[in-house]
Amino acid sequence: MSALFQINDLAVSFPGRDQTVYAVNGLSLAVETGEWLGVVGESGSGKSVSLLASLQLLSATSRIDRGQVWFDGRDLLRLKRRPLREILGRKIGVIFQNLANGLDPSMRVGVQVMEPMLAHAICTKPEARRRALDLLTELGLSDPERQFERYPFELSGGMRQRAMMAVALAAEPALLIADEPTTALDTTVQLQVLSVLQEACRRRQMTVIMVTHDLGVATNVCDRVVVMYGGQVMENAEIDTFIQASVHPYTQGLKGSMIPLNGTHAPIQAIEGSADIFHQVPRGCPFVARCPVAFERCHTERPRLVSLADGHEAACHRVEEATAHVG
Amino acid sequence: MVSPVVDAPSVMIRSRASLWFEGWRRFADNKVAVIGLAWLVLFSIVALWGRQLAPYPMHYANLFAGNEGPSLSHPFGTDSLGQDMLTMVMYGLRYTLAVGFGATVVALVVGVLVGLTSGLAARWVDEILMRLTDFMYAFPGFLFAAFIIGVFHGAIGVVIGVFGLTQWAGFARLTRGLVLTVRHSELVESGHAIGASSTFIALRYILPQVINSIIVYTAFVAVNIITLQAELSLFYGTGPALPLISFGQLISQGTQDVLGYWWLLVMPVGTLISLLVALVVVGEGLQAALNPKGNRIL
Amino acid sequence: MSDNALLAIDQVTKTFPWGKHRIEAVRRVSLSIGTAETLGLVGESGSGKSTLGRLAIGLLAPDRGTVTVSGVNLGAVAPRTLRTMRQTLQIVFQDPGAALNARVSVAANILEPLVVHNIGTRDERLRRVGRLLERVGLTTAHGPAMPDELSGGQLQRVMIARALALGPKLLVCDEILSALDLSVQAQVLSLLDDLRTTEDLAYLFISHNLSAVAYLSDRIGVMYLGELVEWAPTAALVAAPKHPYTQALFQSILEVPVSKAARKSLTGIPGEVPSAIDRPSGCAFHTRCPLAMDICRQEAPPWLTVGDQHQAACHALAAVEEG
Repeated sequence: MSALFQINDLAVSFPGRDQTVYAVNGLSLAVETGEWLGVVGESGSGKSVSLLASLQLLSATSRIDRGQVWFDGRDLLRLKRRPLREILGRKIGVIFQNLANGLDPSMRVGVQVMEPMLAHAICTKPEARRRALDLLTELGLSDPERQFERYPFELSGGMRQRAMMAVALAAEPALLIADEPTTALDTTVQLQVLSVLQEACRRRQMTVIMVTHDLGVATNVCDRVVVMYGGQVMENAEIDTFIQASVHPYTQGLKGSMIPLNGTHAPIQAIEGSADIFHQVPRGCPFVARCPVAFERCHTERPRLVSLADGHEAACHRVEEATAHVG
Repeated sequence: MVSPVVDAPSVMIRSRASLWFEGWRRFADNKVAVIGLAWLVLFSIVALWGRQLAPYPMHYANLFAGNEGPSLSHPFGTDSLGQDMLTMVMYGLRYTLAVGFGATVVALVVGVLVGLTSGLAARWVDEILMRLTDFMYAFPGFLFAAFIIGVFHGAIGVVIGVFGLTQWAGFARLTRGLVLTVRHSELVESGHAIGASSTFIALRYILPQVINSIIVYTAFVAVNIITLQAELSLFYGTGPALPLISFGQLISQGTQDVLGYWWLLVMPVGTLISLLVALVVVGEGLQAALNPKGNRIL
Repeated sequence: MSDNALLAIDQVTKTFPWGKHRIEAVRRVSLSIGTAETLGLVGESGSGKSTLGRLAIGLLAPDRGTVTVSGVNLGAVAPRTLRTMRQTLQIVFQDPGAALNARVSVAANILEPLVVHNIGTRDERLRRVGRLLERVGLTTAHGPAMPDELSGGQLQRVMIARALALGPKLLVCDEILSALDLSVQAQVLSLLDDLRTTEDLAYLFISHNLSAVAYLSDRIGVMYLGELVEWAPTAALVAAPKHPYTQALFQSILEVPVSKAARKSLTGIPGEVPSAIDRPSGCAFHTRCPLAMDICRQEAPPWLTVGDQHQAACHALAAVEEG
């Protein structure tokens, strides 16, 4: 298989008056056709920023310092507005976490679902209407005929999220990028929405990149998980490896921070502190300040992403040294 | 309660002054706004000491030097009577700023009082005040002002009062809206939660939230009032009686000979526009400086 | 239990105006919390749990029913007395960024309750603020910082310090984890766990996060659309939730599976929490309940004792009990 979408050495910063925030610092990741990739990390780890930046969707206050984003044989970061718009919505669908960003409050839901099909001249208007209705039905909107004529604010949170998914899927894109698509929803509704999303994407054999802070969500729907911190990849593993044999201290910390639901009261092994904000490009490992096993080298030298096994990589000096001794 | 710590450390409290300083720093960062502010200060100096600063006495006419274009001795040129346009513009500025400032203060005081009362008082009081505010919004203020000022021949106190009274509704609505949002905020709730009195909450939580937006809005109301006043004297010729002079009068006189003697129109219009632009720019600057989080007040 | 209860809420109903009508945000809820006990309230949006939290400390007054704190009926005391009583009743909100005064420093925020109740000299107060900062895992160096210079987790610690300043006996925690990162959630939860023993605190811990509620609480109440539907000691609830809604909540928690093959299917109950404007008749949950019967649409379900201190309100359970 080949990579459908590939980010190469991406760096994004937010220049400020007094100091610059370095949000993404040399991120590389790839997603293969048909794969469902989870991108996990705390807020501030650069996971949303990097994907938004890769589609040139960040605000003007940001600056892309370097990197390429390969899709369909082209570097998205070098594309002008027009050719980029041809790709967004048509070949890459996007779902935002923030409900307000995704739908136009002044347009009827149905019209918004038809929009990508008409904008990219995929089909005629009556055909688009029929397809939009089918899509809303498929995504589980109750009474789609009626919801079709409604405005976004008249819909419940779960229904709005489904409508937004319909907009993203309308033009049958090859790749879907979903940024925390279910975070704002009640858990019972989250389950429904994830389920219809998974079903719809499977049927279309779509490739999905899902940004989420929730390991429960990532491990239950993704094929592979990339763990990010400080705008870099810390670990990249197939789901079973991620669950059973993850090695990076940050990954371990995230797992340890999950509150178990078993009625016991064992102390939680949470990571200390909260995600760092970098005002300088981190010289060593970005996680060094919070890492329980950091040593000298971690402060001075940036760990390389080392392949540990087929489809399993980690960027950690400890891990690298341990495997070197074994090998 | 609190665990006993031997030789417990004390904490420093950051002073309020540094907060204002930070606001000023953010404002000073905005070069355009600073230029606008300097422009306003210059205009204010001209308005306050216009008598001393003007190159010629008011209504000093040199009939032999009528309709002269801009020159070193008359930078803004002269009119048909040979009056120095720069002097006239400086006096016009004096009048305009007096009315603009006075009327804005009237509108501010009335509007904020109505808005605060409306936002904090019982429902029926709120109802009455808001109906009144709605009425003022729909009220043909321009015609009303024209009528009253016509009747009173533009006495400056009357002009200030009338313009102030036609413009307070915006302040009232803004203040009430802000009070209502703040009133049910978690901030105010957390004030109630620690057992603070209503006065404490109003002064410490509600007022500071509201005040920034009002400061910003004030700049825009001043723009409104100055424009309105210029329009009024332009279209109805109801500027102040002599010896006062308004921009409207200057401009309306200037339009009569616009082709031959362009400076008669361009100089007063240019000055007025630069005043309005400066106010808007300062308003925008305040908006950004007092609201660092980026959510616009207006 | 109710005789020496720190907090006793008895048949409390709270309505809010909605256009020409009123909606019931909390409906006939009774519960009690003993000294140094932690009661968890769990439910989805619209369950009324946050309103109940505010009722518990007198920030809101109930339409019907009583709220009693250490034997004193909050509805029967003068506003001034209620303000004094706030010293024992404190709350921490979901969004510390919104609940803290952004215009003054962290220390000034923690100082405010002491100023309001006129406790100690200036010097004593500042020392106390220093101790409180350390107590919640910050340092005195954080005192002069402005709230927007701290992270969400640090702000929530400041909020907790502010709530602890007056030495309360009951702390209401209203969704205090939901704005925080996973790792920070775990830290704050551990902090609450510590404070409970050192400060002799009772908590009313309100959250939609069932795992967090189960971790911290001695007992749990499950709410749906303004009503309690089940309550039980934590261990009993986790081991065997009885109400179909509680079961659905447990089912909707996505835990890390042991392997890809062992994932459970993503199926749960249909629909969303209905609006309180048109509350379903009978049992409010019947529109989404897999076990709904005719009687559920008509009659409010009875409370059943299903275990030791374990109760649930459900017709289907009643039918099983009888049959």
